[in-house]
Amino acid sequence: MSRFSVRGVVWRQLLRFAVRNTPIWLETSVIAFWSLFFLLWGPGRRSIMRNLRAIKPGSWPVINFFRTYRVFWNYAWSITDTAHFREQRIMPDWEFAGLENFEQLKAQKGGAIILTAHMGSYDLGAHVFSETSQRRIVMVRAPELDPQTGQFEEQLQERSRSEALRIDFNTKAGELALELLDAIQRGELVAIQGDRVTPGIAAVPATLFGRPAQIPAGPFALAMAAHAPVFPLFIVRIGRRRYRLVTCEPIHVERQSRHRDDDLRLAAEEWTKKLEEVIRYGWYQWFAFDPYAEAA
Amino acid sequence: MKVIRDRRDARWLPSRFHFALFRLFAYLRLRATKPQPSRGVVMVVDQYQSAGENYAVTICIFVVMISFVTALLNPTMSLPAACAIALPAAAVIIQVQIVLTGVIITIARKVAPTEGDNLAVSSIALMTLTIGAAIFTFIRDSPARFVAGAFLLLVALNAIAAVLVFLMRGAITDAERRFGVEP
Repeated sequence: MSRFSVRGVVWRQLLRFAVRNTPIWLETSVIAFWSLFFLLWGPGRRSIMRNLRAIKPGSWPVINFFRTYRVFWNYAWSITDTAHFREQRIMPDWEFAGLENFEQLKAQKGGAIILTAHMGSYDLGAHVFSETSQRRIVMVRAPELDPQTGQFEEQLQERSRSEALRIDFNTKAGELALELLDAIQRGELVAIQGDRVTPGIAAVPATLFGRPAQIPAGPFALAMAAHAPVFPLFIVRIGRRRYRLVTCEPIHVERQSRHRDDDLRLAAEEWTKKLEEVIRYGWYQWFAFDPYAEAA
Repeated sequence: MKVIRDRRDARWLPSRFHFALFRLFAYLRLRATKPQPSRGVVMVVDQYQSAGENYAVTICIFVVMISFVTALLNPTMSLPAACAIALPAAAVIIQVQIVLTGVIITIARKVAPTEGDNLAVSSIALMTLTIGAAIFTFIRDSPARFVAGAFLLLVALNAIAAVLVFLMRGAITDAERRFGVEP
């Protein structure tokens, strides 16, 4: 993969350079400029437009084109905020929605699963959680497609590593599942993104915005095996350096029928309902750069 | 990093603002605002936290750059044409300035190593360049000079505000101390 491809290392290096050199009061113009990148990245742009067509049925393509710019604008802000945290330990302002559920999560005896989506800043959310809670958190990430980018990210994460936060990559599903089960049994929290299936990962069929979609089966299977609740939690960017942490009521995945897959599907449906609610409100920051459904 | 919990009115803490004009305004708003308890709100005390301030300053810098390019081009073409070219050119000039300043500072720091990142030095360098561009535009015979003049007026007002903030530093510190922010 070329250093200059969309997922190449150059862009991560450029982001780091920008965060270390751009006066904060000029950041907005820089982000506005670089968000125009959406004009050059056809596949990403078309995927978001396809997703928007499903989220907002009957919407006009020309309006969705400008909405796509807004998605890229929010994405740029989110990765910039994360980079600022890594480089300068600068945090954004936070507010909580569903605080009682968040408190329940923090007070949960034993381990739990945090199920989230590609919204706001996943990295930043996990860091904030690990710094505001006594609980240890294991964050599961999709591996970088480009080895150089992966190496670069690992170096950065090594620098901002804390005792309370561990990052695992879901490269080998079987091995990771055992490690995560072990972590939950030790009383740790496991954070997983549940809105996208990466190749080689088991999936559950679900319906999202009226279209068939694939949802990762892992979080629900893990919850069932560990008898741990699943807390849907979303990190929503609500303004410049402002985020809202939305914590929903936990989903309990229990063996109720003879068929394990049916029970997993029930839990996945409950999850997709919550996911839909949040995406419908925060469509401008659902960073799904691949179409979530083939038919979308 | 200092944070204020459960107080929405903490958004007006002067320490959350960078430029003196905005700090002064924030202090006056803080004095006029009643306590707003709000459970689950976490406000970070950092000088670049205000969205309003940062958007306003970015827009000002962008407009100054547009007026600078317009003033450069105006003698050779009509004003609307100069403005049309100035819009994208200003955006590109800002990016080029940042990259060049960053590269120069990085090289300079390799020669004479210092702690921290480049932000403070690049901020001073880029604001100096912007003020230089505004002065250049202001002395040109172009309608863009009015825009540059307005920006220079803001710079002068900010300098006056800096003096006022310095004189009122005791009162500002006391107001912030009520939120638990120690200088």
